[in-house]
Amino acid sequence: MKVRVILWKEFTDLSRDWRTLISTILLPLLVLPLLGFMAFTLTREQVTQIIVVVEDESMVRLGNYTFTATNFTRILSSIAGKSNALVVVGRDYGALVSSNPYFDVAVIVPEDFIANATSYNATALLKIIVRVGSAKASEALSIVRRAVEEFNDLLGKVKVEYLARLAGVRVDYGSIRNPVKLSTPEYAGIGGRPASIVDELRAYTAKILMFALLFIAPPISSFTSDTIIGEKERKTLESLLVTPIPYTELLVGKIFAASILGALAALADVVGVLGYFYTLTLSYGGVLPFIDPQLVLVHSLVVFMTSLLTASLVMPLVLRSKTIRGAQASATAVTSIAMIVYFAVLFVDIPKLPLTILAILYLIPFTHPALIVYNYVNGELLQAIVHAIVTVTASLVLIALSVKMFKPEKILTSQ
Amino acid sequence: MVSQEHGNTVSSVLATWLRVLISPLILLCPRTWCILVLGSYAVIVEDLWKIYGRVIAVRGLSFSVVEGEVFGLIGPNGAGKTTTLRIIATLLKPSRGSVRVYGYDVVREPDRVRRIIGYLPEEAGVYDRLSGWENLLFYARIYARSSEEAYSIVREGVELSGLGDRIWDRAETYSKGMKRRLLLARTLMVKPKLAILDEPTSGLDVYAAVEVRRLIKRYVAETNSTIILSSHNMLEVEYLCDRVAFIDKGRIIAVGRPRELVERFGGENLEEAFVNAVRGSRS
Repeated sequence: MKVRVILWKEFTDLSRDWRTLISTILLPLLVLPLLGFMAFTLTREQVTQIIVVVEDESMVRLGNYTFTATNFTRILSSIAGKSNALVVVGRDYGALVSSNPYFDVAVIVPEDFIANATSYNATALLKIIVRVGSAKASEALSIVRRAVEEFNDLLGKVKVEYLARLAGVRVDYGSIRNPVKLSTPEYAGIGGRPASIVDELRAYTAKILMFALLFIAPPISSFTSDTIIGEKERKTLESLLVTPIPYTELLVGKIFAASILGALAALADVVGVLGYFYTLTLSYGGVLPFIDPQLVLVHSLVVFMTSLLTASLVMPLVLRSKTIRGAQASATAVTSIAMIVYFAVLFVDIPKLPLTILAILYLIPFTHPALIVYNYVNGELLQAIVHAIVTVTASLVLIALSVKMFKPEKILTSQ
Repeated sequence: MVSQEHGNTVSSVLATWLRVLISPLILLCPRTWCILVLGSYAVIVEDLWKIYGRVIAVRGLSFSVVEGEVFGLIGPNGAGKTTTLRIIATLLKPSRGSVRVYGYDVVREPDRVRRIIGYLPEEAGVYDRLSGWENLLFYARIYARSSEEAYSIVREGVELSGLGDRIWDRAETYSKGMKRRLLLARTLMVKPKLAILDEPTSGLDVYAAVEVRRLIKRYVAETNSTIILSSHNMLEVEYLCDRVAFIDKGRIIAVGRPRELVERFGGENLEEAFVNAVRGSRS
């Protein structure tokens, strides 16, 4: 077998091609976590600005409490202080906006605000203005909503306690405000199989890992395009084709080389994507990706299978192209389908889709590697194995097609 | 002891009889017939045509190359030299006609042909990021059946290239002449029964061209290999070739020894003989 000879040459060549190594392996490894870090740092440096225009100066007494608009602005400032946001309070909207032109959200407290808020038969309305194009508007709105909720809670509690006292009834405000509560979730697998939070975390991580497969197509398209057409452009192909190496072994060697390089790049992407999610989670809170060795092993195998599938799919297109640019263009067009599938897995439970859509997705070879991981994390080992077999078979069929399509004369004489 | 000797004698007699019985079967092999009928020809080209759409690159070319001979194809650009060599090297399929290399048909038995030929294309490149030595090793490993054989082939290649210590440097640092010497060494190091050299000195300066010609001459003297080469350079052809074929517009105008051709078509040298031959054929 001369496949090893081809692999040796490809790797020796690539190990000295620093530009390719940096752009495909090192860059995603560094850039994605850096992206998360940058997003966090820049967001933190950008203070959320909320301006509050207080038009209501009234004061209302309710039971033992006295309410003014200041009660609301204090709550708002307190919550904003914990979220790295700034609240500017004033009476004149125009003056506040001109002194804070990059405000994110303005809250107008109208004249009848306290009267309505403390009444038993009316609702107070806060007017909200969102600055167009503000990157922090949703964050500012969230702060305002939390402040309103806390203010509502305070007002509700005072009102209920006051009414209860008048009625001579003993009440628990909590049971009136939230008569129904949800328990902490427990977990179950497909068909009610027992599961735990660890399984949920593993499934969440698997989705992130499948999402990382999204980045596999571009480097492999590039490597595969470079194999045959690149050799033609560098004028090394003619000499190679006259050697006794069988064309099948030549193509298999080239496809395997591209697959291994693609898999290395994809694993770098995985580490990068995980780094990105870790950075974001550590910055903003949320669920940390959960890594266990078995999942890493299964995913690595899936990465290699996807790489092999991509290279096998791209090779027939490359063989029909006249230039590297043409090869890359057609390869990118086809591998975009891979991107759609792997992007979709973030939001969709593929096996839950209607049969007609599922049938179409099954025809796309890239669906099967995604389903290997999906079924593995959901304990459906047999199905995972079936999808692995489909993936490998599809690759082998495509390699056979490449061998059949390989016509040296056509490649050498095309301009 | 006696019985062992007796046993050896019996097995030797049996082996002899077996050979006698099997020998006629060899006649069933087409290659045997080719050798019997065609003698020691390395290459036989018969009525070769190559047509690309509306363009006829080669029109009914016929010639043969004897084993151990250096055969030259001479002709202007577009005469069909490279196309002919590419067909002999199994890279292109003829539109019509046949080519046999050591009895093997280039269309039906390309794998067998590739095992016994070496081909240097006119515009060949090297793997720039690999050293000269690694370039040789890559090709040697394709031909060799073991690591030892591969390294032995590489040693031959290093010797042929004459690159000395520069063989360890990356090929991207080589001059054009050095790259051509490396490519030629790569082609010849596997000791092909037939070496096909397309414009071996094309684009080289005088010194580099002289080096390459010396290398070919030395190789032929040492190995008695068969070589087909194409060239524009008549001096080169006179220096290297035993016989030459003049090609113009895909046809062979004349074949013969350089001196014979000069005498037949007139002129001071092969260059003038070629011009006269082409003029004669066109009129």
